[in-house]
Amino acid sequence: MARSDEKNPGGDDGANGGDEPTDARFVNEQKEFIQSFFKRASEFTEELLRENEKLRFRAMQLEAEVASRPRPVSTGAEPAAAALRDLVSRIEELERERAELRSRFANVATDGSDFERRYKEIERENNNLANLYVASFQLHSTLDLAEVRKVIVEILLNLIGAKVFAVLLLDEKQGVLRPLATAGLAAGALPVLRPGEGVIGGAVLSGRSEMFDNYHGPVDIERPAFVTPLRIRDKIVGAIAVWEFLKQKPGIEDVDHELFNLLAAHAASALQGARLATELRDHAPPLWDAVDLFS
Amino acid sequence: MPLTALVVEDSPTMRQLIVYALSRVRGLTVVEADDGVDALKKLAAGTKYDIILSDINMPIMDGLKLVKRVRSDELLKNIPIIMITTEGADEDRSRALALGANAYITKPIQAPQVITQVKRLLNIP
Repeated sequence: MARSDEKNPGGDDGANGGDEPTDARFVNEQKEFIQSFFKRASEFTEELLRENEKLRFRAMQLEAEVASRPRPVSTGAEPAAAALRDLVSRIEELERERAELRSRFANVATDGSDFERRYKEIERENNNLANLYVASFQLHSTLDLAEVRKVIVEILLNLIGAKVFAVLLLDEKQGVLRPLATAGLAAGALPVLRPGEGVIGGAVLSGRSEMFDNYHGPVDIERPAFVTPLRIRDKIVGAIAVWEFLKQKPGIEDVDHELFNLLAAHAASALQGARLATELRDHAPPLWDAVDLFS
Repeated sequence: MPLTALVVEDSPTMRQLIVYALSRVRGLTVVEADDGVDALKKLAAGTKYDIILSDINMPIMDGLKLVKRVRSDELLKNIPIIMITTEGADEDRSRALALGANAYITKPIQAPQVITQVKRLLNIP
């Protein structure tokens, strides 16, 4: 204490000019402390801001990750009811998809069935047209009387499927129908047939085809299964009578009617043409003479 | 690979009908013969035939004799043969199959029948 007194005998405070260096140091120290304090505070604040920025960035990253993840159906943490709702919702979605797929499949199947039916129809039409074409082509492919007769028989046998039949021509002088060709029965087995008499004669007189349902026999000469008159233009010149068809033919189909119509309209003409050609033989005028007939 | 069929039939009407049916088989060329003898001549001429369709009842040489001759020939014996028969010819049909025919079609023929049988024997889809 005495030492203190020695240095500051008046017991005065620092205001005395003799203590100036001490005060200045103190001030400086205080100043440095304050400056250091503020500097560190500033650094700490900056550090906090940077950390905050980092955390915000990380939070955004995590949010993005969560959003991109598929939604879990159920987790142990979720309540059972929520998981069940998810499952029911998924099942309903799948049911809708299945119903839609079934509907589309049914539509495709219907389309396929329609196409198949149409294809078969076209195939049948093609086949029928081919039969008609072949019959017509063959009927007019020759002027040989025997050949024409053979073709008529072949059409009846192989295209129509007739088994027992007769091709009859009208003998106008005698007033009777005479057999040109027969199959499955002898020409002599036929009775004398006259226009207007019986089923065959009736068809010849009326000019109309007659059809019955005894396609597969037994053969009753008086009652054929089918009769169609033969014509040259409007004139009836004969008839085709069929008593029995082949077993594999269930009945007379559209194409058979067409073939009968073709024979009705063309068979007699072909026969007539062949007969004239046979009669004329080498005396037939050259075809180009026909030019004069038109002038 | 092009294929060739031999149609043996004495009736021009039937032949034309069969040829029409075969024209629907893509890639198939058709050669026609009037009877068995004509068919054997064509078979011996060098063309390779992939299938034969033959009527049974024909003049000069019938279809049964033709099958027998084809099956006894080393070079021809493996050619598939379809017989064209008529109703009631069950015996002929049985004989043809016993002699080595592969199939038969009954008259009146339908183009789809012919096409189906030919495609089956030639393994055409």
